[in-house]
Amino acid sequence: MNTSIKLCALLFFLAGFGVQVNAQSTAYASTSVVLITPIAITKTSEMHFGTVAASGTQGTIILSYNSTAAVGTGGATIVNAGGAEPSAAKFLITGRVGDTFSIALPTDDVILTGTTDGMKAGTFRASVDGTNDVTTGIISEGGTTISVKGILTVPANAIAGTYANANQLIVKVNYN
Amino acid sequence: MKTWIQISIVICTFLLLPVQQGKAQVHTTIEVSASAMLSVNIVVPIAARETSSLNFGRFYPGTSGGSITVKPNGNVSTTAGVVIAPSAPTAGSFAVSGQGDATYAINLPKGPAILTNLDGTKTMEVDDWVTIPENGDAKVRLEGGIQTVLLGATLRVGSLDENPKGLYTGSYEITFAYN
Repeated sequence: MNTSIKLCALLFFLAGFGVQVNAQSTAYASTSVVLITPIAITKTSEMHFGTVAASGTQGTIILSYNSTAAVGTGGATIVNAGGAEPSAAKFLITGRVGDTFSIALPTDDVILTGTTDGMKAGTFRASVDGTNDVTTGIISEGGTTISVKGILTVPANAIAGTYANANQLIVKVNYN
Repeated sequence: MKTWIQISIVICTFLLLPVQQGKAQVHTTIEVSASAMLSVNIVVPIAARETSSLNFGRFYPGTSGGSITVKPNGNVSTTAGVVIAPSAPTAGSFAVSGQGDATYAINLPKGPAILTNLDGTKTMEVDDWVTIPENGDAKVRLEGGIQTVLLGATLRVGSLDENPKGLYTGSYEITFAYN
């Protein structure tokens, strides 16, 4: 019995001593982490502006969300030569169903390089589930698809050939 | 037994203290990204040059005039009193080049071309433009990247008074455009 009394007294003493030594107000906080399904993004389609003829005047090609290309301004012409069809870039977003996510696209022009000079692509915009020009989306069952469109500037007298940029159309997503 | 109960209470008090204080939750997520390739195929512009002029040759208009038709294949026919003199009417001919198998439109003159004699006092009209290959649905396929387009038309000739003898010349515009 004596032993137990002494032990308890010692514990209370140590507890009191600890409080006095620390002096400052001591707050106890708990930290918890909620693990959720991580957000993920996968490219499902590259961006292709189709087959285009240049002229003596600079022009632009507008690629739409529905993968059609149209002449914007100037002297570029869309050519139907049976090659690769125009295509908007597409990405599949997966994660916790029902959560919203943010979309970040390149704000600077991306340079496509060919056998000679390069040409610029820019004015990238995103569409989610048929809603155009958005910066957020909601993850749905099976994933949500983002379509990305853009505008290509074709310099005057651009030399024939394939112009490309392998990986600088970068799309970033995150939970909101 | 009592000793252990007391010790347990003390220890439990210490253990419980942190839990009873304030709570904080931190949600940390990591931004993820993916990239796509951008590409475009640039092809040579479409080009065309005239390789043969449309020429209705030499003829006699007769008293009432008529017409002369030169078909794209070079066949010639006349109406009314027009009589062809020994000559060599020719269809127009163009060499069109560009991207192989691309489609293009042949845009013919929207109206008649006017031919004028040397002193500029008399005129004749040319219309009913037609080509081989036919413009069809405005999509001609440029097979192999180079193609010959033949052009025919009809010349409207007046009477001898309206169109006295002489050389009549004029021009027309035909365009070839990818589509």
